[in-house]
Amino acid sequence: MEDYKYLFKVVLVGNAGVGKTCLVRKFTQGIFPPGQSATIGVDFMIKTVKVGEDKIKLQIWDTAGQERFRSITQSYYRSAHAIVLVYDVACQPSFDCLPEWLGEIEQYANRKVLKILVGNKVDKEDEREVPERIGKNFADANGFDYFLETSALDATNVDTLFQEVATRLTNDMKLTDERFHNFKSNENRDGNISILDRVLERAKCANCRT
Amino acid sequence: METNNTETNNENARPVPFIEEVNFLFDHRLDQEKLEKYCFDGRLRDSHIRSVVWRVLLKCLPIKSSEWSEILNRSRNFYGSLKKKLSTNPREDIFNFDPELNNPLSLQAENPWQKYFVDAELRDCINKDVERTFPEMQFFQSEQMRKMMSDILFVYSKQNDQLSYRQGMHEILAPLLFVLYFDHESYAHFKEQSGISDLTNEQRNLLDTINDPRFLEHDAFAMFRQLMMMLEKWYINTDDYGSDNSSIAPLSKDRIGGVPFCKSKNPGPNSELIEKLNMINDVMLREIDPALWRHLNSLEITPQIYGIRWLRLMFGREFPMHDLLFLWDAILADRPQLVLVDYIFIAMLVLIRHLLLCSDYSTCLQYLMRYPPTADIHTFIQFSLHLKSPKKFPKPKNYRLSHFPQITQAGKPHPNHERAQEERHFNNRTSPPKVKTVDNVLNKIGRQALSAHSTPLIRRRYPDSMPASNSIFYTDEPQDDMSEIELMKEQVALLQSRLNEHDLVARVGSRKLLAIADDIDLLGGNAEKQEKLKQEIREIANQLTRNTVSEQWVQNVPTEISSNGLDAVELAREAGTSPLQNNHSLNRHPKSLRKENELLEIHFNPKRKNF
Repeated sequence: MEDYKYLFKVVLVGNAGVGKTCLVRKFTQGIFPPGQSATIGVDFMIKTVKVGEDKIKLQIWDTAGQERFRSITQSYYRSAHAIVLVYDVACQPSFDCLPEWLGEIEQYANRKVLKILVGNKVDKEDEREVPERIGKNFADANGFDYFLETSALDATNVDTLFQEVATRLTNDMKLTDERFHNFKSNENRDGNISILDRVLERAKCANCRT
Repeated sequence: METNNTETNNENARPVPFIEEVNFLFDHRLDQEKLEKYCFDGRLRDSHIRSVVWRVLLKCLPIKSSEWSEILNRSRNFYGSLKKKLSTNPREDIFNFDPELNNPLSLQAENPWQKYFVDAELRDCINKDVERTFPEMQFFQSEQMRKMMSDILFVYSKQNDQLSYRQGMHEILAPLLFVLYFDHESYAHFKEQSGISDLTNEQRNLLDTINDPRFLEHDAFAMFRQLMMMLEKWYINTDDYGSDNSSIAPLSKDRIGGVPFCKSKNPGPNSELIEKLNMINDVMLREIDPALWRHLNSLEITPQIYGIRWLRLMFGREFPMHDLLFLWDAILADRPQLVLVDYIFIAMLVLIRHLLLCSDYSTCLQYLMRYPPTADIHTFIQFSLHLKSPKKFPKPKNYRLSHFPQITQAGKPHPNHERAQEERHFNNRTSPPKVKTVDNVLNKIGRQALSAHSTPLIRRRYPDSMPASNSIFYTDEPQDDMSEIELMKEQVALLQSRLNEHDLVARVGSRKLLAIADDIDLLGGNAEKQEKLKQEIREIANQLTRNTVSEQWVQNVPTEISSNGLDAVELAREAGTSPLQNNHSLNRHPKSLRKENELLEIHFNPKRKNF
């Protein structure tokens, strides 16, 4: 068996051409492809990171910008642990579309999903159309857990972004685990095996599946 | 004669001379059946009439060549006027001076600026994708080519309001332009080389019309429109028509409830694409390869995860360009049209089943999303055809050893392979082969079974579907015994991909050089110097089309590696390290590996223990 403690699904969404695929490739393979074809449908990458002493496996789903295709994206949304919504700081329209994306997320994603807003392409400082402050305000006003500006080109904050995702998810999961164990030991003391217990166990298995 | 000499040297590698191709094309007895066979046999692969044959197959042109001129004329005019009509700029609209109306800030519906802004948005969307069409191919990076693609897609989108532009269409258009352009180029070349002097005036005129480079854009549009007529159903989303169905969940449960094994996660087919993918998966794959179907199902890998791209781009990312064109030859020629696509889909799955069956969720997905390069496209197509009509097409030999799982299409190490090596290094080859296949409920039992036996679990679960003896599945072999073979395969794979790449680059380069050599006459100056220069350029061009690997060396590879397997490994190692040092090969008979119809088949028996 692969020795990782948790497996998390991270889904990237956002308008076409904001650099989702480049972010993922920079993070997983360490390269910035000079030419990157448009994603059709969805793409998939994995990378293992370390949070403290634990190995955390990230399963990264990279969706096509034009794909608001319920039957495809819905299942990704639902099973995602974290959703990274990306816009291009040098492209106002990609920022203007954020409310639409947010609507999709609210409609289809898990309520407890970790929501992260990312303004990409900060290397294009001269062409910037969306100031950092505006992005930050939007993130705060709309319940995002984290906001960050990145550049896949010069690697600014790329590792930070995914590391942060992994750390936050791990901490959340550990909390849940602790609660689960406390709960379980209480149960055992009573000598009962509850249905909830089994359900939780099974839910955990589902999360561990690679 | 100097020119003729060059001509023959240059054309040596090509299986069919241009004249013969033209005669085939102009033969009044030509029919669908003959065309089909021509395509399936791979005779378009190095031909110069592919664009014409495609136009016939796409019904842009009738099969009778006598009607071509007129029809071409009509379709070119059609595009010309359409484009003109659609690309109006309100700034240049001299007939509409009314400031109430023709004013960027006017809110009136007839305001031409409204349309202008909408169009600009569409353009923007198209250009974003056009700029990243096949980024590894220089051909698509020129300003001129991008403009052309953008215009064609724009006109198409305006003409098909409801669908408009969808990501992926640009990569349907790209191969069409590629094929047209290169046919134009080679025709111009033949013409200059007086390679068509044997033809009648009438025939020459017709060829001139067909291969008129001024109408590259027009003709590409016509082909694209026809092809999209077949493919558009895969681009339509039900969401496009505002059919927001809020009661999906209960509805789908009702509908699916009666169908066993149907993924309850799926909210029921709601677009033709999804329906198609489900049909391919749940009907065809289930029947053709039940074990694989069960495996993918148990991992909950639905076909839309990987298949949307496969279908929308007609496998454009799963095969390198030169193989893709051959694949499209077959797809377009086959009747009823597009049915072959389903079988190609299945063939792609079945041919990497040995990789999929012993892989976990992530590894499977990596293989499906970064499909391993096909070694021999001809065998692959034969196998697809065989799946479709087993009686008409025999099963090709050695079809199973047809993929290189260690590398990606781009020739880089495959992520799965990298990972496997990392792990092997990590575990120091002590752990049993990793097999994780079970679904949630059986997860625990599965793990216990795995730790108890090193045999892949899939075999225990589905004993009927996995023949124990005479099987070629790699899962049957202990992994360590396979490492030598893996090594060898890797070497061969790298070599092959490098060869293919060089081959293509060299041939394009040589074609360009020859064209340049012919243009030297146009320059003024010393005739003798010119002749010398020409000769030199031609020589370089000829050398370019020769092999990078010694022909003699290739012939020395035993086709049957029988007694001592290690020899083969050594051979492959040598090949991987020093193919370019065999410079003496340059003077040999120029013949390409690929043109000889594919990679040499190396037969080896993976069961043999001395490997």
